[in-house]
Amino acid sequence: MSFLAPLFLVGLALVAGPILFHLIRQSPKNRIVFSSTELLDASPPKQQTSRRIQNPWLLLIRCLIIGFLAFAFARPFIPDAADTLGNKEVRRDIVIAIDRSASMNRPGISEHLMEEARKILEKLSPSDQVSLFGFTDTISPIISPEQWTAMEADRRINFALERLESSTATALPGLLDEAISEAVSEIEALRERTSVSGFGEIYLLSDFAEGTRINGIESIDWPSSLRLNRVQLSPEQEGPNLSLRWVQWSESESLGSVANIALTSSGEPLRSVAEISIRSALDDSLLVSPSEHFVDGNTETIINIPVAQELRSQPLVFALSGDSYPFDNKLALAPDYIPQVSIGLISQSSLANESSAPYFISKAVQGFATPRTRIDSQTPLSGSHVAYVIDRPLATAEADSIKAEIESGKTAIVLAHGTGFSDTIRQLSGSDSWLAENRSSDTPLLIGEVDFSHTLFAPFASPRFSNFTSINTWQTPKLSAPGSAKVLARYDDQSPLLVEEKRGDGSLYIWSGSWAPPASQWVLSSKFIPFLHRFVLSASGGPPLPSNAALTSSEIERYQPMFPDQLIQTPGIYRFPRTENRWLAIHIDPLESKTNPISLDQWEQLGLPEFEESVAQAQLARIRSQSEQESARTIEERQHIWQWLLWAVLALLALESAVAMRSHQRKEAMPS
Amino acid sequence: MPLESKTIDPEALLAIRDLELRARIVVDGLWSGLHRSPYHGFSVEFSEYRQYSPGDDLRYLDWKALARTDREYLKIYEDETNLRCTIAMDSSKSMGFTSGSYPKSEYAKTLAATLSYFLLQQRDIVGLARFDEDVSDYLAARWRPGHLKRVFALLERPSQGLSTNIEKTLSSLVRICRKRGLVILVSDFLSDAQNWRQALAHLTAMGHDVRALQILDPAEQNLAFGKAAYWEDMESGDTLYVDPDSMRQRYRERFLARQAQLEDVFRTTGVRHQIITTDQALDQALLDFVRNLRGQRAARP
Repeated sequence: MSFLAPLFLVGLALVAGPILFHLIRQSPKNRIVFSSTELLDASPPKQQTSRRIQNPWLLLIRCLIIGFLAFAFARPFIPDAADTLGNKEVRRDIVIAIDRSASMNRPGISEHLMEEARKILEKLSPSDQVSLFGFTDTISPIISPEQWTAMEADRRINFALERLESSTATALPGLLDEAISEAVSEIEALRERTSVSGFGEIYLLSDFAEGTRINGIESIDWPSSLRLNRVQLSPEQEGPNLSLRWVQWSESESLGSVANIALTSSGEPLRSVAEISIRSALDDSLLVSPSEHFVDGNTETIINIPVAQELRSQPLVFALSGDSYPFDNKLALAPDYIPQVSIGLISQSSLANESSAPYFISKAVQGFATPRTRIDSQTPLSGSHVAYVIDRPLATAEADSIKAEIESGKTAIVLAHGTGFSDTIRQLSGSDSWLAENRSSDTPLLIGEVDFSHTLFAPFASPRFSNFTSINTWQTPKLSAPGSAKVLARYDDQSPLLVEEKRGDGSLYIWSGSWAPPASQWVLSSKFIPFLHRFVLSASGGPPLPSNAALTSSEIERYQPMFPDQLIQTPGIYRFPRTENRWLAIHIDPLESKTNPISLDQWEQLGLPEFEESVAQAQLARIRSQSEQESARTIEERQHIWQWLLWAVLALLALESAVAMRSHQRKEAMPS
Repeated sequence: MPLESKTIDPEALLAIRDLELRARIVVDGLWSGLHRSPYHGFSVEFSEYRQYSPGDDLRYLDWKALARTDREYLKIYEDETNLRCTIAMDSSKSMGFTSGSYPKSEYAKTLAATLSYFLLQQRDIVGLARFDEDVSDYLAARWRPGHLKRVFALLERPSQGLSTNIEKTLSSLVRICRKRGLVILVSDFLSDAQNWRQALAHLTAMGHDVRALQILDPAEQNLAFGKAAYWEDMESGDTLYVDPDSMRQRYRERFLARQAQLEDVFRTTGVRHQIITTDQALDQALLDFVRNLRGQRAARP
């Protein structure tokens, strides 16, 4: 039997009390009063050979009461024979985080990783809980705690090593702070799985390249009894790492068309020679012969490589040689993609009429860098346009055609500058609730209210650009819109200025008023061109994604839907399906090329908890003791032996009272 | 043939709380016994019988009773009564002893009450003195209404329970009882009689008719009491380990010797001595006392 609070067993010494009491007490004094002892002689006292215990049964009961009470307070329990929690080995909660970022592709690192991983795995005990995951800019579980526990103990190491071998390094960047934070969370999750505390250990296996993100480590809340072990992995060959980063195209007087490239050396402080060639990404043909370039150690140099102008419009690969680490020696470059869209403009005025809305619209779109926008006023209803600007009332057939276009996903804006637009609006909207009526007053209207959360007005959300109140508008009908329409802007008399109505897959905008300068200062304001650009972007599906991107998990998520037949996993050139002459160039995050290990100073600045072995041992001992206590407490709470002892004490107390009373009665009944 | 008396169980009698009632019961019981006796038809003048003592006047001998009972009784007539009687009752600690359910003091108190009641019925005047180390309370003999109640009240008063000093008591009685009369000493007389012999003689020399009623517990006579234990003297507080079984024989011998000494003192001082044990019926005790009453003083040796 064991005890939760063995100190209370000292109370057993109190059993001596009743024993002494029963020994020394002279029972019922045997004293008799007599009228006169004058005629009596003293008799020799009767021989008492030894001190006799009076009322031995009463004494036994009293001793049992004290004994049971002492035992009850000591909280006894019977340890389970198969109590695995009672074994003296402290359970550890282990999280092993493996760096799988691009810099881990350097030759020799994976071998070193397997070696170190084996060492760690071999030190584990069967009672340890283990979680293994790889990290880049996301966390990828390799072995869960459930899988570890379910595996037979003697197969776990090989199982883990097999999983590690199959989980190779990627071309993604590494976020060390995320990995450590995840490891800490995993430790806490492991602790919650059991009721007995364990000692936590995190093993980080990484090259700890300085390019990895670490600034989030400072804010991590470290739990107690947790040791962080950093296992530094190194390539088989130390040396500088050379890498390329795209800067821009430029023109040089001497060289003509030039590609500006940043050549970086990290690692040893030695000057390096890099050989750079340019190849076609389409057929890998050599387009520009290798050229040598020098770079000092741990510096970045911008180099200029002449590239023929016509080569700019095709995808290229800049290939680098001169270092021992080829993982980042290729830089893919795709030409920027500028989409071209056309807007159908339906108006009575021509584009040449300088006081008409079409004129200003056509001039405005000429300045759009992207998408390249063309105004088609000749065949505005051709069906090849992404959007329509309607500057006159439509005939029924025209309205039906535009309506079908809108419902198929196109966008249209009606510049309703008269009551005659009511029918057109009703036809396009399909709702008879629309009404454009004359205003009672000719007072110019100002723009009073704007919804800056809408994409058309989002560029003006900043207070610097949000003032629309200086734009006067005259001769504008008063619109009445159905409840389903969304008012995006209002005049200062609260009447709608711009209303949006979703129709099918497209959008219909109704602008109350004309964009022609005699009727409104709108096209003359600084807001007009950005607004029109947003309108065109919105109609054409938004700004195009960049043609060049770093390989990160978030970018993959952004681009992958556009490539249903390909997996974007490695750096290189990817052709956009259904779009001619559009490519996507994916390159390794330049930060991964910074392969110098994180310095000690940087580690110290992060405030990571350091553990002396003696501190760890002390914590282990404490946890061992806690573990035993918790195990004992669990068993004791399950057995409730103390409750039975208290019941026994109550029964004995009742028995003691009965026996004492009977003894007293017997004494009184003795003949005097 | 002895006079019949309907004995009353003393335990039952002493269970009655009211002292006057006890007295009435005993006296009435005594009278009814007397009336049922063969001695019917006494003269109105006849007051009572008294047992003949050597030296009494033979003219008052009841020859008929002698013939019938073979015992000598003297007829006492009314003009021979109207005694002045003082009952001196021991209320010391030793009187608190009991081997049964009531102490000697309670028995003595009832006896004194009964005597008072009886004597007052006889138109004798009764006084009461309580004593331990000396006379602690004294009620002079009077013949007035309510006197009996005062006697009972004094008897009921709790005693201080001190030790006994008969010599001093007797000396005080000499001073108190100036007129000749009957002095009834009710005590256990558990002391050396030689110490108070002279004082007793002085009392009797004054002309008092002194009667000694020695109240004893049966255990005091035969030590059939207790067990081997520490025995504590009720008055002195002395304690000694006594085994009654081994002590009994010797105790009896000593007791008898002391009793003999006591009787000798009484005899030589002319005091009538009557031993009454607490297990004896009170009415019987009273009857015996009455029979001994009016006896001439024992002849001095």
